[in-house]
Amino acid sequence: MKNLILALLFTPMLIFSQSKSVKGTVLDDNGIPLPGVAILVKSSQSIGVTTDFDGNFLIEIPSDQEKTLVFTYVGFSKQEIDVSELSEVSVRMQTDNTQLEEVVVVGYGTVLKKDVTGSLSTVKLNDEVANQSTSIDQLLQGRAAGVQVIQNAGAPGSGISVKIRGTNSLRGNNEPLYVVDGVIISSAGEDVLPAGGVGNSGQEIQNGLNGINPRDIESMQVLKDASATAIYGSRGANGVVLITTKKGSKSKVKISTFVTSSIRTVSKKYDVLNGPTYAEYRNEALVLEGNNPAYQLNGNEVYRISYGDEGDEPGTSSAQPASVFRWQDELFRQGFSNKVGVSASGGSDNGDYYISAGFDNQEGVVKNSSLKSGDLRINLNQNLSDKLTLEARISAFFNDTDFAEAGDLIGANQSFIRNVIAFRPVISEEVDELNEDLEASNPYSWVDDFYDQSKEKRYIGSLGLTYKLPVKGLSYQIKAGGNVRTKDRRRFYGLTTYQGSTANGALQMSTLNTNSYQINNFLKFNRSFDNKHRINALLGTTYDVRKVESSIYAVEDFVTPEFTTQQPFLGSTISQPLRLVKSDQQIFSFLGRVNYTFNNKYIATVSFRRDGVSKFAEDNRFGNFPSLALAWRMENESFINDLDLFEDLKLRAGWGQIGNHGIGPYGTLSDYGVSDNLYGNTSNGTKVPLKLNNIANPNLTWEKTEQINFGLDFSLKNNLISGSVDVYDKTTKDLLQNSPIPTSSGFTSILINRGSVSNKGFELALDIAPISSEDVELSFGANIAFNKTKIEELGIPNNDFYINGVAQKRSFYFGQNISRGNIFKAPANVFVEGEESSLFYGFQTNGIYQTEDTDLAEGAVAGDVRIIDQNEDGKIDLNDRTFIGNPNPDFVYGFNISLRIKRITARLLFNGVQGNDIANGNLLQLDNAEGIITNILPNAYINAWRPEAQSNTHPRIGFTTNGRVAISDRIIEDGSYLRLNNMTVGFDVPISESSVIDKMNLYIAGQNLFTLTNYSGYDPEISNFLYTGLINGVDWNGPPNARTILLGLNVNF
Amino acid sequence: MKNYKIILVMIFGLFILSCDLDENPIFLNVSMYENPESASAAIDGIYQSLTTYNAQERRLFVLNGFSGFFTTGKNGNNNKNTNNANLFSLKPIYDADSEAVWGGLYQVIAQSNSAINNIQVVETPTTTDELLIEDLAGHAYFMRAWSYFSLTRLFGDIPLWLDLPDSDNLSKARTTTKDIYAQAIVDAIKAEELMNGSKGKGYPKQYAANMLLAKMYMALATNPALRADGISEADYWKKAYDEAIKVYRSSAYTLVTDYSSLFTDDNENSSESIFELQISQDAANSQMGRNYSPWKWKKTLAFGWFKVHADVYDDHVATYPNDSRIAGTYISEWIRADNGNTAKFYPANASRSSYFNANPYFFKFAEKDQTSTTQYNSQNIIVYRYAELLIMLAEISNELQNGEQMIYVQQVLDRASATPHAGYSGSKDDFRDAIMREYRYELLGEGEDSFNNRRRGFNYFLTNVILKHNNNPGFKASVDLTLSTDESQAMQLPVPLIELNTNELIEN
Repeated sequence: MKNLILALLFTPMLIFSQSKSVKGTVLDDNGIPLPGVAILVKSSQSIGVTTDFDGNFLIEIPSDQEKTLVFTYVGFSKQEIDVSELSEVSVRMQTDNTQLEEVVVVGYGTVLKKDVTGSLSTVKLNDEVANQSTSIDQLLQGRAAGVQVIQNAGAPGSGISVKIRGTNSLRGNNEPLYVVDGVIISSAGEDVLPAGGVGNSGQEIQNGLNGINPRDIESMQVLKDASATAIYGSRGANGVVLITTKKGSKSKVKISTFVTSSIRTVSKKYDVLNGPTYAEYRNEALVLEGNNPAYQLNGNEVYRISYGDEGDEPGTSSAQPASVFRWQDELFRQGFSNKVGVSASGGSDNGDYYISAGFDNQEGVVKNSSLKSGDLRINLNQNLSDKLTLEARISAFFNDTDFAEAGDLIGANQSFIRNVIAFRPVISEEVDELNEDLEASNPYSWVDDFYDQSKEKRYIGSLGLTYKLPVKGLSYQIKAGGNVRTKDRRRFYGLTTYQGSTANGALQMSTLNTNSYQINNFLKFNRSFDNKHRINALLGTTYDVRKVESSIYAVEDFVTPEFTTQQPFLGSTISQPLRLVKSDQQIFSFLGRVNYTFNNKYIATVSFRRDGVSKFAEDNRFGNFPSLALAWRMENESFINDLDLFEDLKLRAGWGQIGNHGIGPYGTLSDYGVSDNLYGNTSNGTKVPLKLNNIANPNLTWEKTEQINFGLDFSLKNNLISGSVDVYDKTTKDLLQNSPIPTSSGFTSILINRGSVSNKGFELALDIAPISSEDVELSFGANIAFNKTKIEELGIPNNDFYINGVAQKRSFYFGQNISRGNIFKAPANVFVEGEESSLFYGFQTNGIYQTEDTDLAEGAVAGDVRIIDQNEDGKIDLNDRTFIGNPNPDFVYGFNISLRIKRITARLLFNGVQGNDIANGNLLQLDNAEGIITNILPNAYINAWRPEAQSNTHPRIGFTTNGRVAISDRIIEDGSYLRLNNMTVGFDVPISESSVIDKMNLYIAGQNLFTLTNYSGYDPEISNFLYTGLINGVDWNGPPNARTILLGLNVNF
Repeated sequence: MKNYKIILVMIFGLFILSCDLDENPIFLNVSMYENPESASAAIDGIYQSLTTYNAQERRLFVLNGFSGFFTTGKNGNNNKNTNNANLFSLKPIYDADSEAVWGGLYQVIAQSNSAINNIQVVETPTTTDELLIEDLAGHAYFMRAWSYFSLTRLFGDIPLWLDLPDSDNLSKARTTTKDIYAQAIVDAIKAEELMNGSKGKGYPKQYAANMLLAKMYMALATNPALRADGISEADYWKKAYDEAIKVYRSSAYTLVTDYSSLFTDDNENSSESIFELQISQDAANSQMGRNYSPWKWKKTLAFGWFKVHADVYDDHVATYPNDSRIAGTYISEWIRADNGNTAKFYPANASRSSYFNANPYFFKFAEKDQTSTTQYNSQNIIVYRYAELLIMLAEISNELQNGEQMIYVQQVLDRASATPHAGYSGSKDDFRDAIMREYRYELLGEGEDSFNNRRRGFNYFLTNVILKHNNNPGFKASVDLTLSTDESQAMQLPVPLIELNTNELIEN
């Protein structure tokens, strides 16, 4: 700024000198003209000009001066340009991310970046990437150390999970708190309630964060350590993602438009038996069971053999060959998507605005899978007077989705994915052979006759007034914000689906109506004294109310299925009467924070929050959440400064206590309410029964997390290398758990505080910018996070727990059974005190029993899988279970490469997970030739054990693990992967200066282009059972992921 | 900017100091037991618990599967499918159905416990409301007794819950079968005292408690290990007689004329019914018609999960060739609802060429309306009926040799147009064998076979059911199940895995 003033002062004197004149334009990195840029003659340091409103300048360089100009502007890197050979230049200023005066958003306020004491990651977005994404979780993946994102791009709108620094709680929903422009959005795991399916049906989880448009996001801060999140008190334990949306700037009106088109295809398929081989397999299985073969093969044609009512042999072959299908090829298609958007922004001395609108039309990888959304945002800032400023944020979002691909989670053959993979590839007219309860529902029925439609509307708004009080630096702010989300989800099973055929059409309707609002009152104080002391303080109260009303309703037996989800009136049996479920919560809090900096070297932050939450009984309702953090800016110490090595070197230490009450309300009360079904009366009418639905636990209280963090931020001179390192240790006590309890109690679970877990970890983020010139820029970014979650205590008495056949007295409990049926009946995970969380527990195996083997376990026959008899008692039972895998990764990482050569930019983003195991439940049936009428993997059939050809890899035909009490290591696979998450190549189209267009950028992008993994299933990024907590790392009918090729155009006016 | 504006804003901000942190859910609390109407609805909640899928469909699946009389195509149309290879062959493993029954019946117990612990019965009820409350308490005791009796007969030593769980009380160790019986008897006696009929039609009366007591005493009479000290077998037969005869002498029940009508929508809550569950399509509380209607019998999917062993059918026909009960119990030929063809199974199709056609379907639970399009149906489930009481009285009388035995069984046979077979005119032992078979002919599949077959000990089960089936002349290894002859397997179900996995006080 000093230079600028000097430049202004001296400008008039220049015209009298003999000189060289240079004119030019200065643009920002988006190609927008920059007014007010200071341009100085290098050798003089006193001769200079500033750019005008359109970014133009004209400078006279006196003959005695060196012909080099220096361009400076706050927030941008200094540039020097030799103009000795030039009379006209066009300069593009580059944003300086390390600018020390940069301000960072923290909880309920901002601080100077140099004064930050906590551990946080900033995710900066460029338009190319933001425009490719439909939800914010995609933007977090791979871009911030210690942030693990699980999502499935194949199914638009499907559920997501974001984990910051491991698992804090065994309860399941470990989603961070999202705060958009100060409005808390706690809906990450929120969805409509399932209305009760038909049979074993389950409802797919959908994304609860729809409506926060990536395109409108200016930046995201991920608050990771307790000193940063403690200001969010009882909701800070899982980390906080602060999202700041864009605002206009005080320059000319800027209009940005974009359009993208993309093609989405399934990135991987299962290889299963083709029709003729399947027919051979079927025949072999039937003959082994003592039955007649079902098919006759003639070359590649398959004919069905029928035997008549009396079962007479030989049967007669059908006249026509049976139809043969490759179901995955039939069902998975290319999905085409389009997205357009426009935004306008600008401002004046008194205020600024940002307005945007967009439309998105995405097709999934199966026929009736889609997502359509529209959104609108208005951001306004206005100075009402010199003391009073107003800020307003309003956004609206509308969303229609149909059928996220998994369709149905729990049922085996009742699931879409299961059906597509394993449905028999040979279809003939005769169905007599079929298993009687599973004869309907071929994969087509899921796309032709199943509907899972959601309509969602979301409005987020906030209004804030800030008044400068008479004391210098002191202001009062009141801010009210709200979030309204309504969702209507309807699922209809038509007559050809399994569910619909049993029920004669089944419609399930669920709605969600969430209203939340917050009122914040703050006194803020922000002032420097004597250039030595700087204080940034905050004191205030907030009241946060969240009202949720859900409804469920289901009806069956349709007079006509013609109107599918549209007309419940056509169904005659109400299988779920309309039921409203209320779930309200109120939180009242006091909070305060002081950030004090001494001499630009020593920084301390102290924060405190006291929360009162309606969920707990009066005695346990209030909790206190303090934090303390210290930082030392070592680069300002002479002994570091003398090294002339660091631009920035900051050592941080932080401690804090945070809480979590991520349970539903009313857990302390006994719920005597309606039951799932009615009871009949003597005239075949109905009676309403009342039931006790839960076990009240009046002692419920906070989950308390205490975390220590040490960190170091560094940046070398010239910003060639910068980065940060963090180590942390956090322990969560009084875990709130929905603990499975013995069903002999009459209930299946209780909400209870018990146990503790710890997470210890190390994070490293590094940015390297080896080349930074006008024509070529190259930078690398990388992050890696190691985290170990350990169950410190469970609060369950020790009991016999078998490891390698030896009983140990341990405290433990098991996870949840995966399926309600017999196929994957056993739990996969076990939670054992002193171990990592949710380890896989089951049988170890060692090949296949051979005919000559004499040491068969009780009940086994040659050709069965050899389960290791750990305790050598001759029989295989529960005591032979042992640890067989670990679903927790050793580390998660991401790295990106960014290269610009003149007008061409290329950006690559990789993300990966290393060292985790996956229990691939699909293998239970796919990898064993059970001899039933479903398709299997080729190896399971070809390499099946046969007396005459003894295999040691695959069991005999007819072998099944159905109903087995534990999983085996045969389904445990390495889940490590490295994925090219995104590759974008862009080109800045040259624009003539006279054009109305300021900038045009064309790009092509590929998402999920390749995945390096040994995992045999569709996708190692498992999105099943996201929020259960009792099932981890289990792939059970998980949908395939998608590969997307996208073409985009950004045009700025 | 005038100061008043900022003051207004601050006042607006300060209102939040009066904010509310109390919860106002939309469900009832324990005080609902004080109101006769809502307390009555809570008792319906107990009966509804017994009609949940787990406690009804799966209970009957397990009971029939474990009786030795049935086979199932559920999980594959072959005799080696998971169910046939294990539960139905009397080699039970940890299976999902048994696990569900366990949870389902314990849910009935928990709801009963809640009612028992909260309903306040006045000493001498006089008003309509007081009498209703008294009756409601009686129902809660009755259902608890019935559930424990059902559970212990399947699983043996089991946890005994008489209160509701709380955060300090989540696991219970096993209680011996003997003590479970003792508790169930106390509850059933209490139920008999309290039940007064106020809840009205469609609910069991105190005679259901008498019948339950009689059954429990019969179980103790035939199993020395369960008897209380100093009480002899004969004492228990006498106790059983005393309870059963109360029902008989009450004249509250009579046999209906048409046996088959018991298993239709048209004859629900008949004069024969002692304990019946109220099923209604509108209540969506039963999928029995879907699960147990024969293949292609009705328009929408019918699973046909029960078929009866061909030799069990043959034995019935051989014993009573013209028994009117046969048509109500089995079915082997019908017109398919999908294409009008005739479906034929054994004996209509005598070939027994595949598992699929080798056995007749069980018909009692089938949806009788072949045009039904819904998966729910309305046919009530009869748990206890008068015919069973008559057979019980005949068995007890034979044991007591009081000379009354033929009086009771004759009524059952007369309705069936069946002439007493030779066994009835033989010795006490012959009569015993005859009457034990009569339970099967009269009550096949209704839920008691599994217990009746085992009540007289393993050897009796082995001789009269297991070996009879395994060694029957028509036995065909490719289609029939070979029933286990191992006592350690065949007599009891293992406590479900889900319980072992969660109960800290039970070890594997």
